[in-house]
Amino acid sequence: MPREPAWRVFASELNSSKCYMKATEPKMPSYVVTPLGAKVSRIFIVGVLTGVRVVSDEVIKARVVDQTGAFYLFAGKFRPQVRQILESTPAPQFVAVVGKTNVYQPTEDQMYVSVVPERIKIVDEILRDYWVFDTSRKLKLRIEAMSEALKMSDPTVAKIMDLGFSRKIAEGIITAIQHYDKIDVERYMDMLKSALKHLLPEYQELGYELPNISDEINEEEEENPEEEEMVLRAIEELDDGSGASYGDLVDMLDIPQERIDIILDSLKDRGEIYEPKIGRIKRM
Amino acid sequence: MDEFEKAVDDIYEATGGIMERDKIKKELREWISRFGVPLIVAKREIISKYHGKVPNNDEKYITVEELKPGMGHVNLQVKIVSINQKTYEVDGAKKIMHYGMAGDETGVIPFTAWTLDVDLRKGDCVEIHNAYTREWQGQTKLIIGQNTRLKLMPPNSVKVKSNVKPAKIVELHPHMGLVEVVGKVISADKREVYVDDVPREIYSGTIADDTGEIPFTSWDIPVQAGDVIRITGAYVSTYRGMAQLVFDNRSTVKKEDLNIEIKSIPVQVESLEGRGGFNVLVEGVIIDVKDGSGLVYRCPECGRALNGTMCPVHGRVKPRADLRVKAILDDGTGAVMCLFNREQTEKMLGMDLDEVIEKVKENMGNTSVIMDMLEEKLFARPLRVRGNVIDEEKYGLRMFVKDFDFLDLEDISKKAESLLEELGW
Repeated sequence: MPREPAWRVFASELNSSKCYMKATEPKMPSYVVTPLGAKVSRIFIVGVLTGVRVVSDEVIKARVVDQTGAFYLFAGKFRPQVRQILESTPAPQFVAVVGKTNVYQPTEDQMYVSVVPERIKIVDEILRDYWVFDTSRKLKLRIEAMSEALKMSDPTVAKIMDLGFSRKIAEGIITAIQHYDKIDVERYMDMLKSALKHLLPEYQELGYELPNISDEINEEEEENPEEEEMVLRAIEELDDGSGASYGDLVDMLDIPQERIDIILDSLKDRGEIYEPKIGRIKRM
Repeated sequence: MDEFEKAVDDIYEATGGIMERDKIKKELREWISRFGVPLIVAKREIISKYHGKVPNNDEKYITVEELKPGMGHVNLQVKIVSINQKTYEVDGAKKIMHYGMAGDETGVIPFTAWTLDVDLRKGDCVEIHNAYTREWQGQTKLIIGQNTRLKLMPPNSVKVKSNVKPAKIVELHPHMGLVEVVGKVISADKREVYVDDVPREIYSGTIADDTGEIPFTSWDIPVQAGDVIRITGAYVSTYRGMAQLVFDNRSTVKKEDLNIEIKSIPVQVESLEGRGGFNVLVEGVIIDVKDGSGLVYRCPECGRALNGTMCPVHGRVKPRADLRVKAILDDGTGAVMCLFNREQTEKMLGMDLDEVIEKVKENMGNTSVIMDMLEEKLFARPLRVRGNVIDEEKYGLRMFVKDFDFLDLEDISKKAESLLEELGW
């Protein structure tokens, strides 16, 4: 069996995924299928490491951002080298990451994609620009394939391949069409153009800022008792005995989800809440 | 009722009951199991042996498209697309069989003729009565047997559907059937071989177009380096994990007055899966440097990388130091294991073998210091490599790197600009 390719996909496309194809047999890969049909089991990312949090002796969370959003890294204990680099690298820093995709599905219609890094390395800005360009041209190809497929009355893998697209692209497109009700190709076209614009000399001279690095760092350091209180109250309200569902909590609160994650982690660290099971939260 | 029982019944009826069923069964089984004669043939042979009437429905013609394996008594009107002969021996006697391709307006099918009652040539149109079919390498094959009758038809009374697919060299893949390729012959060597005591000429070399290069083997058709040729009706096979183009007298080869620009453009790794590639260019990023890269010690006899001084084949030896890299190159469409030799590894490290050995000594003989250097140099680095790629079940895609370069990343903004222009920005 051929080795799974390391896909080049922007964070926003990966995070919009709501389709997960779980391996049916041991040793077979599982895939996150993006709305544009990238069937991602392995991924190659070059971006900016903006935040690292040691959750426990076994788990480190980190964020790597590109021009469209953030990849959520979830490093376990099996990769001591990855852990060592994450723990010792001050953010912000350009990094290259090879990892496997994973998902967290608190409820049936919710899905959060994360990346389990296999390797990580500190790199320079030039490599990041190359990655953005390479990822852009691959995104362009999927946009074209998807646009063509959406024009067909009965799209099939063979018909897409007849237009010159590769088998992997064609299969991904068909899976995406079957799974997603509406695929907003325009959105990805805008994403593609804005990503490429960042590579132009005029932007480079301006020194384009990375998405909210400073904000994110502040967020992490700053304690906000008001928000914590809101979260705690919401947990109590939603608790039907078996704990509050994570999904309901996110829906109920008018706080960005990333921020909620941070608050929950900090409350957990302080022993104010616990998870009786995955996706359920209770007050102590 | 199974096929066998049905055949017994058919024979019983066709021979008018002169033989008992058990006797028929015994004889039929012997034909099949001892002599390996296909059921359908055995049935007909037994019927004719006992002067029964072989059932036929001569009036009905079917088309090539309708043929399936295991059909008996078929009648067709076809054109002989190609025909060749082979000698074989039965009980010490030499016999000639013919084989080739026949077609009509619905398709083309391979045939074998054990006997021919007319002298068939390429291009003849012919009525075939009472032939049968068999499965052969997953395909239907038409068999012209002892009871088949042939009748020549007026020339060109049957038209043949062309099932030859025009293809660029990068697209060539085993199992794609007959292809038409236009390319420039890069090299061609002639040699002579004997096949079934018949002297034959083989021309082998490589041929290229603007998408890639592929090895070829031409049977009996002279091919000259430097010529641009159009080969119609060639097929693709794999040899040692690599696709090659094969053609012979069944194909037509025409010299073309064309200029073909041979460019080296990177291929997508995905396109090499299942076929490998000759002298291909791949651009990607190193996403893994495998254990066993760096300084290795080999058996001086067989070149095996050893753990100590014991070679599993040659016993205790004085190992020879060598450098190599095994790394995974990934272009987002697939991944290929690249094998770099000593000289290439020295280029990556900026150190020669002696310096590497010295460095390892400084580190108490720990070779992982070199592995770490290679990791640092290679991981996440965009690279362009060229070499032969073979695809074997056990190892996946592997390239023996002929040359490599780190990609120049300085002109990314220009490339971004032209991509944006393409998008109508």
